[in-house]
Amino acid sequence: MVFTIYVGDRGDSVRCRAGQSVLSALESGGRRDVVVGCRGGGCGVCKVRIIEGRWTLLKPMSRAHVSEAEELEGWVLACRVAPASDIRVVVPEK
Amino acid sequence: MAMTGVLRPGHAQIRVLDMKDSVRFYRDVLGLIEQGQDTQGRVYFKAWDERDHNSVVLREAKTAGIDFFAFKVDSKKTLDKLDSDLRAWGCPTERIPAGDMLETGERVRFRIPTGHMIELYADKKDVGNGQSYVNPRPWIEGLKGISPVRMDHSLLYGGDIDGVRKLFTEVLGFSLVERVLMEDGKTDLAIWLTASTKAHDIAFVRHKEDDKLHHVSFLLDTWEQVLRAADIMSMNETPIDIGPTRHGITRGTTIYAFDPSGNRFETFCGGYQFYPDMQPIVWTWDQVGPGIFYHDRKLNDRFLGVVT
Repeated sequence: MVFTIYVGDRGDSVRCRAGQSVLSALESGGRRDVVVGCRGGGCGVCKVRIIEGRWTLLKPMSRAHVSEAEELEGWVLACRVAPASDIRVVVPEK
Repeated sequence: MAMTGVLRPGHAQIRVLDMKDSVRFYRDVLGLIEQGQDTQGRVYFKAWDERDHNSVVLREAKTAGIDFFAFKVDSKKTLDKLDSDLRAWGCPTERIPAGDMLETGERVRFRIPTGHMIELYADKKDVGNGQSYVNPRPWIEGLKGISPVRMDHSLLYGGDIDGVRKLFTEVLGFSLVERVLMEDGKTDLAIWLTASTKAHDIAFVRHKEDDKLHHVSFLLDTWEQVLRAADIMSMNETPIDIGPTRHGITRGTTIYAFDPSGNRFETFCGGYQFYPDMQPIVWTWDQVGPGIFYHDRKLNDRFLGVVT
């Protein structure tokens, strides 16, 4: 299964295998807008917002960077989540 | 030279997001020896050549980072003296009773000006390094993973590193070994401090947020073992931050990588011997790149920004 991750609203997209993290897919897709940090859900630098579609948590994220309320609004650490459908993400400006 | 007072780093308590994953990593990939679990669920480890019961304690939590970093002191008398010296200096302390940590005596805990919790203790059970104290062999067989010699030092990030420098040198008897200056040529961006003849027992970098962990470091014997550590990391898909490379500062050869919760750790070898009559080495702002990463000659984006 391969999903499409749409990035922002300009029609950009990358492909993501089932179980692959959003961060890993953005990196392999050559996206430079998301910052790669610890890849372990601890440092918070790859925080993005998923505004459309379903996603699953691969491993826990540090609550120092994503509160439960933020998570309900789609804020996630890209290294910790995988798409469960096609999704659309917004990468905050650095 | 007689080494007295604060002897060496003793233990680091690290917060992890998933205990099961983390135990597997610290035991099988980093290759520490699992020493038990306490009633709070914390899991204890030691490096193979350490003789005291534990040096790394993992606590499952909602955030990554470091709870506290501790130093062993030479006696109960020193513990009491440093406790009162800290209070007299204006640093409140707290006594944690013996037995709170497995096989560990009473600890004196205090918050330093960068917001980190530091501890001192005099007693921890000598469990040996797996060798006899009589006619030992040079190493032990069957070690797993990277299997460092010891937990060696930590690098912590926080605001008031001037205050920390004063506390460590004026109260705890540490020496300043190396420093990196900021653009103004006066203010310290980073400091390396030692209580021993090592090039560092703890280091600090000035940072906008307090109480942050940059890395806990583990010592290897040779550069070849550093390269082998990189192989083991890649075989286990451990995210490598940078390296293998060399630090200009302290001259250590190094790899930085991340544990499964994103806490950075270092496996390194080398450095030079320091004695307290030696003057500190200074790195200027324009040479901070080679100071930190001697071969790349520049910092990577993550060095200053990615902490837990």
